[in-house]
Amino acid sequence: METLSLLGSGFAEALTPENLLWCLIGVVLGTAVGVLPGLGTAMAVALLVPLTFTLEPTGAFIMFAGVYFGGQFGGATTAILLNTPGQSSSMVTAFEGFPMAKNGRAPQGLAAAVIGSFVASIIAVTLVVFFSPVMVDLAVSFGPADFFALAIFAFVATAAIVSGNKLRGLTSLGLGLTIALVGIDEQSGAVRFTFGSPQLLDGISIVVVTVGLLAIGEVLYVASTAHKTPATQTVTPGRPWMSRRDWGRSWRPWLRGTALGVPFGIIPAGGSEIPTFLSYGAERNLAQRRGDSEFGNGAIEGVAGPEAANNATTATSLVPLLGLGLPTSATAAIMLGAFQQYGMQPGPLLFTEESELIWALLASLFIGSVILLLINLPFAPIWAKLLRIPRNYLYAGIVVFATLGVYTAKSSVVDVVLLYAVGALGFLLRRHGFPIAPVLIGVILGPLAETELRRAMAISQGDVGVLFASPIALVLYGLLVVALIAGPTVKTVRRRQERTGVS
Amino acid sequence: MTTTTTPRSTARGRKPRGELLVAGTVAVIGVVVGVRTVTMDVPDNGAFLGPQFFPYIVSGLLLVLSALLVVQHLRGAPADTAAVGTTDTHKADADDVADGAAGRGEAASESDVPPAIDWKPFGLVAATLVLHVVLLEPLGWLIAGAGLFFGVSYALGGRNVLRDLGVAFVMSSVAQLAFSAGLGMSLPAGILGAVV
Repeated sequence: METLSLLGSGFAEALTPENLLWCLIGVVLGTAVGVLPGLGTAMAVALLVPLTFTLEPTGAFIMFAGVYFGGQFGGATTAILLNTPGQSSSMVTAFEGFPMAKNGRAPQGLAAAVIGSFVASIIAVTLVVFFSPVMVDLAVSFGPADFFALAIFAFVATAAIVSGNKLRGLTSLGLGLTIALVGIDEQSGAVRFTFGSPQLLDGISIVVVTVGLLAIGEVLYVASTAHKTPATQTVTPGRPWMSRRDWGRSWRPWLRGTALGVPFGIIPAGGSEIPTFLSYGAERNLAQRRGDSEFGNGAIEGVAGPEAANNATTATSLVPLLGLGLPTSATAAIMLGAFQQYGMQPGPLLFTEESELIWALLASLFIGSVILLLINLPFAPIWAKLLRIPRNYLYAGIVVFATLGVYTAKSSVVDVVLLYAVGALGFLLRRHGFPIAPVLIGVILGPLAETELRRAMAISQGDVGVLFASPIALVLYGLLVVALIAGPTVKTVRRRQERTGVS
Repeated sequence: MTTTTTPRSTARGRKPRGELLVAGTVAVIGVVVGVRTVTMDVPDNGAFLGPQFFPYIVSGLLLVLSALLVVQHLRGAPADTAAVGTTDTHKADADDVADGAAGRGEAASESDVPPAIDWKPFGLVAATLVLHVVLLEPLGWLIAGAGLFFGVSYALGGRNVLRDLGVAFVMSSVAQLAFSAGLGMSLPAGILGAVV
């Protein structure tokens, strides 16, 4: 009951005309960035972080909520219309979505995606609202050893389980940890790895790292393969409306997808890629069992399920972010960075110290998904037109905005130099098949891991046993072992699905 | 988009050298981190596990990983041992967050042997970025920003020089207006600051 009244006051806070405007702007900008090739939700949030610094925190986070949902949907739009998913989580959507578009059913595909996102978001956000306080109660009992175990869990989960090649994933993670070392060591005051530059004392901002790795890395990558211009095949969609039969075929996949997606947001195992594949596989098997499978030729179930799973995962990833201060996805990592910019540390204390803001943020997640439904259901085709912008202008624009965003945050040319250097690193990794997500997780959680490890060891005066003394830490390490064994099985299943499903 | 897809047999012969390049980069970073940690000025405040502890771990991790990457390369894994069916999975991992405009077919070949770098556009973009960093403060955002836009656009094949320059200046002016007037953030005025 208390939760409901808190949420009510959150709505009261969020539902001012000004905040609604920020939310609307966020959805529009988020969709615009999400539609662009190679730039997903994480990029949309990263690029907009500097803009929000001029707002007061409530407005800023409401705008984030809009960007978050807009970015999600933008990726799905291009996956369906152009077979170019904006991010890995909408990759599966393209499997059935693009055939649908080719069969002239693009409107129905888009509708199944956007309504599926809406259903999943509403269900998942409701769960977040009721689960976060529980998570907070649990988190209050967390000691340094438990936080260290959580960080290790997130490291291994993203680097070794979610990315297929353990060695490559861990290498990316190591580079991320290195970036996080730069700056003043908070506990001892020692200056580390600044190479004499005073601008580096504060460390390298997560925005610089994200925008560099994703935007600048992507532009360099595109330039390096410029001789092979991809022929984008544009499909003209009509108004997205679904027939009674489409609804009948979609509502169950939406709910199943949501159910599959929800748990993956809560465990720190990085990204919504696995649940989308699981949902796709489940829908395909069910369709085959019914004997009316349209999979391969544009089955609406194959769009509805994965899109719901994707959105459910991203929404529930807010539970560990708000409750523990633990980001489980790149997007969540940047939001954590944004919280820190405002001098707030997500975690158990946030709910008591910044209660108003948190409930306004949760309320605005509901508002964001409604606005998304309202403006994107009718206008989805317009977004796809963004891709008609000549490629050279598109990428030039991306570089200009990335540079501008990073420069204005601190008015520092050093940041721009870092941005381009990180971009070069991103290009190297991308070109040679090393995953990007573990770099970001390393940058974000590296300091947490170090601080908590040193704190735990200081308390125990050097007894390593303290790291394994708490039940919470033991459960986490246990889960990790299980995941390491089960992870390859998921990979095999997924691989088999891909091979037989879409080749 | 799969113009350079090499047949499986030859791809197996050509090991992806990129792994060695990354391994080398990682090793260099590992050594730098290690050396800087050894020579670090540590404030003498008796903190348990000082500021050098974690960097040593990271440095060691990087060195071990780079060695393992070399071993993996020499043993021919993973692109080669990854049998035909796994290339798709591989792609999904490789791109992850930054999954690009890449079609699925292109990416499958990309994870085996990366396509040859198209040096001209790549070099032009890189040069544009370097020039921008050098000129941003002396020339000011209006000119340097337009140069940045124009340089990248030219590198990626924009050849309508007059129109592209026009678009570039419109872009940088709009950005200047939006950020300075709209959001109250300062951008370097540069030489134009003296005139206006």
